[in-house]
Amino acid sequence: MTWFKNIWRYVVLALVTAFAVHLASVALIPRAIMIVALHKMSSLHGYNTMTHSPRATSASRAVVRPSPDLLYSACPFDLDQAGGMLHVHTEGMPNTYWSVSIFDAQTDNIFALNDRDAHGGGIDFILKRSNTPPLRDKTKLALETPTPRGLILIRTLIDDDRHLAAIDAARRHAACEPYTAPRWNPR
Amino acid sequence: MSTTSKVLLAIAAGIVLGLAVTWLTIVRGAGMGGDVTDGPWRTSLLTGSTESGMAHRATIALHGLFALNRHETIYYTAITDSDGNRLDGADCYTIAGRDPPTRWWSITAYGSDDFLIPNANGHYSVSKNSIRRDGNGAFRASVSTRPADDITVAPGAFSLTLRLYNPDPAVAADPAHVALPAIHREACR
Repeated sequence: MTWFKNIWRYVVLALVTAFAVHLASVALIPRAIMIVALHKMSSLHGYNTMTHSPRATSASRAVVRPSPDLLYSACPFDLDQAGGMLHVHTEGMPNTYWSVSIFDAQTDNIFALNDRDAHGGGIDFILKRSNTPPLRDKTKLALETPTPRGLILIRTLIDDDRHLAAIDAARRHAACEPYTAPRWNPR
Repeated sequence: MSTTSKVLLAIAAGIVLGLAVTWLTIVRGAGMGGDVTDGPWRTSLLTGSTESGMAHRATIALHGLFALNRHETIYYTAITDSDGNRLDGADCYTIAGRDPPTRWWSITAYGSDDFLIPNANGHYSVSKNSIRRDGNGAFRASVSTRPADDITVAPGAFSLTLRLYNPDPAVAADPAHVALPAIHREACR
């Protein structure tokens, strides 16, 4: 057992290092994956603009496990680049299941709303950082994100292949762009 | 060997071991996984949630990025058939059952790389609206490498994801006891 007396402290050091590296790598994976995904998605049109992807096929390689029964519209956002706030809105969404979801930089789904929640209407909200002052314009719905970067994703169901062209056309009215609050003029 | 060399060697071994454990437990995993089992299907109610733990969040980031939280969608993934055998495109399967309690559902096949499996006819999935039914509303779908089947896969390991959009509250209350479709391996004809 003399050999073990000589190496035990190095074995312990290796095991402690392994534990720390495992924890660190697991903790870093979501942020790293999100950085790569946002980079891919923003490479064509940049941040703070909505891109409407065609129906997913086996050639769709931007994001794992896409659903071929949905149409995806994505707005990779960077609130620092947008000047602090982002305006997200839809118009004339199709009469089928659809949802709007927000993901923060850690990949957490921090908000989701679907067509039933919208009572057949659309969505219209301002996205801002959670540590910024409240929106002065109380007519606007304000949603908050803990991280300046993330993704807004709109999923629209293709309930029938014969409706694909109409559904695709309708969801393309969804948009996002930097928002500048109107100058406040108290009376 | 000097003490410094031994310390550096121990640290290097620790780094390799730590990354290997991450690779085996998180990166190389099959599908979205989960801690709840219902027949061949597995799920987690914490998918997409801010309450998700580090390991589950990392698994979802790698194998199911941008998954919605349980209030919007619940995802079940199967990597085996109902008898516990690993799904393999070299075999032929039938998925059979009745509509699960949800507004809308779909079943999609994915390769071991987590992407849709190439096939000439675009037969990637079946859904509530597209699946074949008998007179009683029960459905049945075929899965194999044959181009005419409802879902066409390639030889090798694959997984199935069952998406329940706007599931009934009963699903989130007891996700292990939902009447989900069975996956049977059958003789290829």
